[in-house]
Amino acid sequence: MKVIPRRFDEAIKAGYRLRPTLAEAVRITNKHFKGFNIAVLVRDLENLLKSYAKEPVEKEIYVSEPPPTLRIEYKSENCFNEKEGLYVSRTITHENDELVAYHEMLMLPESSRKQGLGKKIIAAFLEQYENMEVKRINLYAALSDGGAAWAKFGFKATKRSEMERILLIAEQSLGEKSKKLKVVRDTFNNYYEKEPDGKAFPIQNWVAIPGMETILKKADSHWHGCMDLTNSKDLLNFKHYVGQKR
Amino acid sequence: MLDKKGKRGEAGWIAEEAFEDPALELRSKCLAIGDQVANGVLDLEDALEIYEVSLDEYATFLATEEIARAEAKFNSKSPEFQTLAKLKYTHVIYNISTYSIHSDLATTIGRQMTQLEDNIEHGR
Repeated sequence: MKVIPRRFDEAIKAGYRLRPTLAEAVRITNKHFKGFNIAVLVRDLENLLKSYAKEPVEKEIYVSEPPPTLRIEYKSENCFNEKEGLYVSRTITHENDELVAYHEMLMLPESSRKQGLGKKIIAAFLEQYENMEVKRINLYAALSDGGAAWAKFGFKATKRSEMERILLIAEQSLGEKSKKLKVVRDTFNNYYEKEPDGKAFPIQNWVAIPGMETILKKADSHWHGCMDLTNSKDLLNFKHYVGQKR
Repeated sequence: MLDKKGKRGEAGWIAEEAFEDPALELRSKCLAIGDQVANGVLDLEDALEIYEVSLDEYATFLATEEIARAEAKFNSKSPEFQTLAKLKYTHVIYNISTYSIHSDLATTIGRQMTQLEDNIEHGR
């Protein structure tokens, strides 16, 4: 499916700034991001975010190469305000001949809570990732309890040193004789004995242990995570959590 | 929501909301149980204890997953056919929850399920 300029026109009409130019955006998208339906994503984001974003809203689609990169940003004037700010930023880029998405920023105003808005945004982007055949999503699980929440989503931890740090926190918090601590340790050892340099530690098996959620919500429990979209089981679970059953 | 060093990231409460549904919370635990048992970190009884999930809850989760799998597999068939598939799968899973989940039994039932699936697919 070729992206045609008319679709980019829809983005311009919705107030998106295309950088560096419309012609470059069309050229690079057609060449490297085949399948990306910009019109659908723009429409989805407008429907989901418009009523929550304090004007003026800054919307931008930025493309560049090399490496081929596509960044989509949507942010309110007060985007760094803890209670009212709205900021969505995703970058899709080529790494080792495959497309990888970076979930760099997702902040929503408190007024949007309890309405499932976050998962609808994630689902809207996921639809485009599937269109483009994005292979992985990377994120940094850190803000506002992120250390626990993204683990539940099934993101795998990519850095052993971060897991060692969280294991240390668990050892201090759960107590040496705790049966749960033994399972936390066994989970760590079982994975890293097989994969000493592994980049897919199943942190979801930690967070589901009662008591570990509190530990993963601590400020020091931040970690880098990855979702392998080529793993059909993980993808199915991810879709389940964002409300797409298939 | 930015951390002290001003780093960017994904706010956890957005993901957390997805898990306010107790069914999803339970699903997350059941997936962990399946994974830990498959990797030999825990046996099933210990896994159920650690993750604080009852055998009934876990059996129901397995049943739901199997039904969903059958539904997806036989999606192109008639509604009557799908219903039949669901009933048969439900019956098989009922056997699991009625007895207990031990590896021998699970293996036997697994074979039966594969056979059943094959039969349904080929209209036998």
